[in-house]
Amino acid sequence: MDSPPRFSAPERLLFGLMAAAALQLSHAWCEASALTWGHGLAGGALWCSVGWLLLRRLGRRTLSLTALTSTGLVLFFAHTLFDLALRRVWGLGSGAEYLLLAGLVNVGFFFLGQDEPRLRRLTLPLSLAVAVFGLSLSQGWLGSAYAALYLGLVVLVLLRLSGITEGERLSRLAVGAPVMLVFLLGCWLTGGQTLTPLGGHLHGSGGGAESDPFGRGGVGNGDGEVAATQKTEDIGFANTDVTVESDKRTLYDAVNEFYGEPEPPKKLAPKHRKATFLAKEILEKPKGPLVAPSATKGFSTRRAQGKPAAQTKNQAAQALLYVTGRAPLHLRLTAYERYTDHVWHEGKTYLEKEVVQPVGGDWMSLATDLVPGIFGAQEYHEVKLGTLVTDRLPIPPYPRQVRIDRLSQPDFYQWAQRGILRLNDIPQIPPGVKIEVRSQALDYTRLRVRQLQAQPPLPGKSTYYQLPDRLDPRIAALARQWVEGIPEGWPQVEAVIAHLRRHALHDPQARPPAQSAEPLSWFLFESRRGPDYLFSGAAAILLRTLGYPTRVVTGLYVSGKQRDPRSGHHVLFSKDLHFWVEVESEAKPNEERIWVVLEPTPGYTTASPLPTLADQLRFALEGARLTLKRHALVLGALVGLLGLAWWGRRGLGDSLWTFYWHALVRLAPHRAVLAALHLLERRARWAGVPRPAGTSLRRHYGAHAARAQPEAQATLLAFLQQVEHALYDTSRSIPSSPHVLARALHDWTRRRLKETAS
Amino acid sequence: MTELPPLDHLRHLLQSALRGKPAVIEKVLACLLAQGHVLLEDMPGLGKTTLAKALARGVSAHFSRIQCTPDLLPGDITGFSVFNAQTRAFEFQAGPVFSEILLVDEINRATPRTQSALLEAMAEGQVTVDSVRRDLPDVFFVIATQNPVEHHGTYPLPEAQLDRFAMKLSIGYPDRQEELTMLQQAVGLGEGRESALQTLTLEDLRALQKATRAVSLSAPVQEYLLDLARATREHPQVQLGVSPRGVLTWQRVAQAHALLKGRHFVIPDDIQEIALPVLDVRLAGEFSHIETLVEELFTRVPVPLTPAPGALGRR
Repeated sequence: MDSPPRFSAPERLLFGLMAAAALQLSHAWCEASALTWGHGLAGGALWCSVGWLLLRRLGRRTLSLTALTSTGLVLFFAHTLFDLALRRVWGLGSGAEYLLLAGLVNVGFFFLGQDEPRLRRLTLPLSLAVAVFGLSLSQGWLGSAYAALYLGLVVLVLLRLSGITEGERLSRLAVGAPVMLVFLLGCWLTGGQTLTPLGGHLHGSGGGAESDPFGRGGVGNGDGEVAATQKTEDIGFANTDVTVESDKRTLYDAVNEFYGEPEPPKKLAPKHRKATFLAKEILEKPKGPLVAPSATKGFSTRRAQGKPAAQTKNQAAQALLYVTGRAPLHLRLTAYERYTDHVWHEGKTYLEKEVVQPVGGDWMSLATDLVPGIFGAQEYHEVKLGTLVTDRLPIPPYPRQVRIDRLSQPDFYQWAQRGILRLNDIPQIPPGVKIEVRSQALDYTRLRVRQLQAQPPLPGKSTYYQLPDRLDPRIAALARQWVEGIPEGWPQVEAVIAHLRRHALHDPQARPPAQSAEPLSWFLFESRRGPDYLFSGAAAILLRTLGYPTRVVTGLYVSGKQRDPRSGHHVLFSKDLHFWVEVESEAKPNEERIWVVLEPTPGYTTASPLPTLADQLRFALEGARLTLKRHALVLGALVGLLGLAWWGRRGLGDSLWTFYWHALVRLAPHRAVLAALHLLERRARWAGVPRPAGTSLRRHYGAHAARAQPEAQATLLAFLQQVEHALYDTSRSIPSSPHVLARALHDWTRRRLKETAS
Repeated sequence: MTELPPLDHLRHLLQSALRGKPAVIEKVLACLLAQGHVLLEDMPGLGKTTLAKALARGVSAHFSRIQCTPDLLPGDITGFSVFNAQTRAFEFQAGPVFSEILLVDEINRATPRTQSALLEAMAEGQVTVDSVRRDLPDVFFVIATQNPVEHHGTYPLPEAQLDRFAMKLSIGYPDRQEELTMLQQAVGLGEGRESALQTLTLEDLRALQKATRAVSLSAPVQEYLLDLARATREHPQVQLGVSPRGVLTWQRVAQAHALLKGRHFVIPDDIQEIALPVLDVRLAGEFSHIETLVEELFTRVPVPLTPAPGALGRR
């Protein structure tokens, strides 16, 4: 004979549900989107309830070994099939480790419904495994808090186990409480990462969301390894140091990889091809220094087809940068000023003694006084270098303060170009260094009203105004046509940018043919399609013809789509290299002139300023007003329905509880009597005649029965008799009769209870 | 459950003797089945003796009556030894206490000495005369009465002795119709005298008393009883709450009440319905009305609605 079960069915069910919830929690937490949350929770609830109800019915029969095994296997793979369907229909999906654990949850519920006690007991280790491993896939405090809750529940249930003595209970408490305390302490000390290493032991899908949208964690997560998050699952043979080292690229390598090599001039010898991204002057003098800072470095707008970075095998290991914070964001790296012979030449190094001032905690305040009144609230970004080799700080365009850990002296910083910081005497910023920036986004609507005077393009002026020697006259004509009737200043700049965005199509692979004289003319008047450097170049030249100071800037663009939901980082690759145009603002005395980022390429945007709290409130109210206006009919109907539901909530609740009771009679007849009593008590409360806690059932409801018709009186008294037997008769001499209970519940509605009140 | 002797005839007999007082009769019967004793506190002439006599007749028991006066001696109750000149030996003349149903009228007129002799008999079921212990019959039911109005020349029963009674009852005046029926019977115009109903035997009574002891109480119901008892001890207006012996008596009377209702298990209603007479004889304090106090106690302790472990079974 089997020993009596030590865990009751509800306790086992609770464990199973907690485990399923743990899995859903970690899944949804990782994905962090409303759709995934909804899908995960709804799917989890559906699986749990359907599985539980169906399998309890199934479990009443003793299954043969074949039926048991086949049903178990079907249930184990059911979630995988469901997931495959999801991938096909909605493009949603889960990693292999989630599917594995979800299969275990199903099997656990299946075992729970079985008559065989050994199978039922298997539910507990299964749910424990699912909970622990499921939580190990989540990150942050929420997973740890839930794990602590789960552990607390385990300890509580162990304490409440039937058939143990007080001494045993105390000894369990003596063991359980310190274990829980140590666990909680661990959670607290590690900042919620206690369980994470366990996930490395799961057979996972590997990779990050970048290379495989359904891949999460697992062995070979190069993404995590490069980001140096130091997790067990990141350690794999796929990403050795050798691989990572070999992928390190300078900005020029990355540019050439993505935008293609510049077309080699005819007289260039094949052995110098590697250096052809450099300007013509350098190419003609191959013995000169290749990477020395020089005003003659440039970017040729004539180049071969680029190699899309997405084709590389292990993309995660080649991430140039990791960025956290709000997107979209432009990260400057190099600014080009002069345009001659279809080559943009890099601007000169901007020397200024005082670059930053320390403000405490290694934070450096930039010594520039930004124009007041045109910026939004301050925001915070973090940039971590991956494989990009550079000495420049890829930071947002309008920084206020910058911080690199332990770089506490102001002379570590220097301007590379205007608005572009670099580290002094350091050839490259080491990979993994974290740069923190407090910056502000520009409010373009406030900028519009500020003055910006157009200067005639005269020789001798600043390089920012200089036009190429042989400029196609159609370009200046086009610019004049676009700004016709628009007042001088920022409105004209905006008009040019807006026209350009509509004028041409963004096509990263489009290249001017070799015979075309000028890439810009080809772009503006012939193909009207091209990559972003032609858009920005065209914008710069168009604006210069109107007399505005411009420069072309290359750097990295954070669109927001590169965000890895698991780490929360925006992961930037070569494909995120981008060119844009900047216009220099005018400044009043004691103000610093700033370079204003403008985005002429369609599909790219500049960041709007962070709204203030009042703005957010205003937007929310306006949004609510518009929604109300747009869906007035539906919302009105909804409110009406809600009102009706509130008005008839008691009737509705009564119907639902009665329905529940009828279902319960079929599923768990032994609980029917108490449930019927609770329903009657609920009705009495809703009818305004609740039974006081100290009044016995017979005294309270007997009084109602005495004032009712004889038939109803009889049904209620029979009901009370059944209830008394169920509650107080230890010998259970009379089995409960659902018909008697149903009859009484039918007769004794809220209305009758109200009518028979004294 | 084995077939029990029917109580309906006895009830009918008692109701004929004491008209319009079914609740009092039920409580007296509960007291009888619980092997307790009852104290009737009421005006003279309300039917106390009639009830006792009818009860004795109903259970075919030997009935005695003691009219208490201040000069009543313990020996008058328990009996005494007299010298028999023929046998030249002392012979024990059993007193009225050696009967199955004993009516002690106006018990508070007896001296404390006499009262305590009687109370020993009630508590122990035995008397000691001339250092010889003599057992009373196994069925021994005392109905004591006292007059609530006339206190002159009386000796009120101390609390320790009151605790020997299971409950205190008052009969009260009958309603008009019942009194009229009584008048009609007295002049022979109404129904005839009590016909010779088949009543219970002492054996039947013993079987019923045994069945009473077997009536079950679930753990939550016992806890409810205990909660009520403890509430009497903690109530600010009560100086003397229910003693553990009182709780035992309360439980036994509740069992009897359940049996009288045809149940073999006790429900909270049984405890509540006999609470007033059981507590009336026991509680002492500054409260003005015991009824209000008992109702207040009921509101303080919630009725258990949880089934006893195993009562609903498990899957």
